Amino acid sequence: MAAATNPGAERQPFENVAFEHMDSLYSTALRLTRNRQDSEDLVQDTYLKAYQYYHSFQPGTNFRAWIFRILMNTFINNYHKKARTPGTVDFAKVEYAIENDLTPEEAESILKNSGQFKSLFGDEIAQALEEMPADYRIAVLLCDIEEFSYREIADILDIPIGTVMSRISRGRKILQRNLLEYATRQGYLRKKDPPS
Amino acid sequence: MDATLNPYGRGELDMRDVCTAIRPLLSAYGDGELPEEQQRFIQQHLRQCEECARIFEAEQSVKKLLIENFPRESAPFELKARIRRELDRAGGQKRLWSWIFPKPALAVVSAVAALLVLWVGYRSFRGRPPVEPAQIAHVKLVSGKIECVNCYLARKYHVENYCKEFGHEFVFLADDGEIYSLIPNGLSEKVRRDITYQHAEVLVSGWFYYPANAVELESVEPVRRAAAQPALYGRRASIAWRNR
Repeated sequence: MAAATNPGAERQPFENVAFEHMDSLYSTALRLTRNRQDSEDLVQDTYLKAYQYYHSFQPGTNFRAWIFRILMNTFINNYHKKARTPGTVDFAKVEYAIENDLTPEEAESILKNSGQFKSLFGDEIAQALEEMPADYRIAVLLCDIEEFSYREIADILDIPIGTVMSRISRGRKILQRNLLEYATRQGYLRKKDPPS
Repeated sequence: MDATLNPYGRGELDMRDVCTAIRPLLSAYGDGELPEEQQRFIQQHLRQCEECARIFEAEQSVKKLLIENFPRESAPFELKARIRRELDRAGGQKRLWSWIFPKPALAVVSAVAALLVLWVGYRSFRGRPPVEPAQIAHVKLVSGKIECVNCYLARKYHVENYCKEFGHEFVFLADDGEIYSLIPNGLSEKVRRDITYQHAEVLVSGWFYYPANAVELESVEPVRRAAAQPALYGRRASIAWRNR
């Protein structure tokens, strides 16, 4: 194997395929660690590991999913504990959100106020994301922001595709409920719209 | 309802049943991830059912909100340079490593052997658990994995929600099918909490207690194996123990 006898030879090809994903990896790392220094370290560790195992990457397969998988594993093994802030996730709330579908009225409120959410809720959206259990948050972010397919997410997180589907569906439900709750609390939206 | 498009069975479906059945699928529908037949079925249902349509739209609007509020950030300029420097350094080490161990498998075997020797040395130096050298029959290296016995039984007998009812209970499942219980200590707790949950590959070493058919973990090390990717991130673990 060329890689084993002359590893320096794979350096340039590695950089060519790997460096174009740096922004994407960095953004994801930032959302995972919520800290710039940790994100930079996490991305660096990811690249070092990817380089170390680059000879085991099969050309023609999905490099982006492969390197994201390394990112996730590195995060889980080295940073997860540090990043976890216990107590942010309210499990009773999460359970309620999972078990109860959004009512048509709640859906209506979200739709009516989506314009306001946009202008007023930058921090609240971040907060609503924080309050999701990490498994759900990661699945939703990989799908919506990084635009991975369910199959790719299953490979990245090493979980069955059915689990991906339910994590994304439930994650979005939790997110919607969290947003609604903020809106109600902040008074942008009342439980029942008063007659105008 | 067009019965030919009904993927949930023959016969007519009540509209309410359809709503209940498709609500958990709306998310995947919006992502275009369902089989074509189901996509078409749900699309048709959304045209007929105002409630489901609103719920679907609300979810889509939150998805849009998320995308608009989290634009991709650029990595800091210095990061690329820093990574290049680290890769240079790693490249040097890698060359040295491949000179010492031209074959990755040899490196793994040597690493495992070195770990084992270190471990045996450390154990006999530290002397805990109290085992007289004369009592040590032999050192065995057995491979298997840490597994939740309830999940394992649930899979084996196709029982659902077994763990929901009984909770996770972790054991060492050897490749030959033998199941050993884990004697609780800080490390077995760590394995239960972190390692198995995260599917990391680990080399587990510990003490085998013969009459109880149990293993007390002594160390858990991530395995860095220059093998193909699935093995690297698989759940395999091996356990080294001494009979006492």
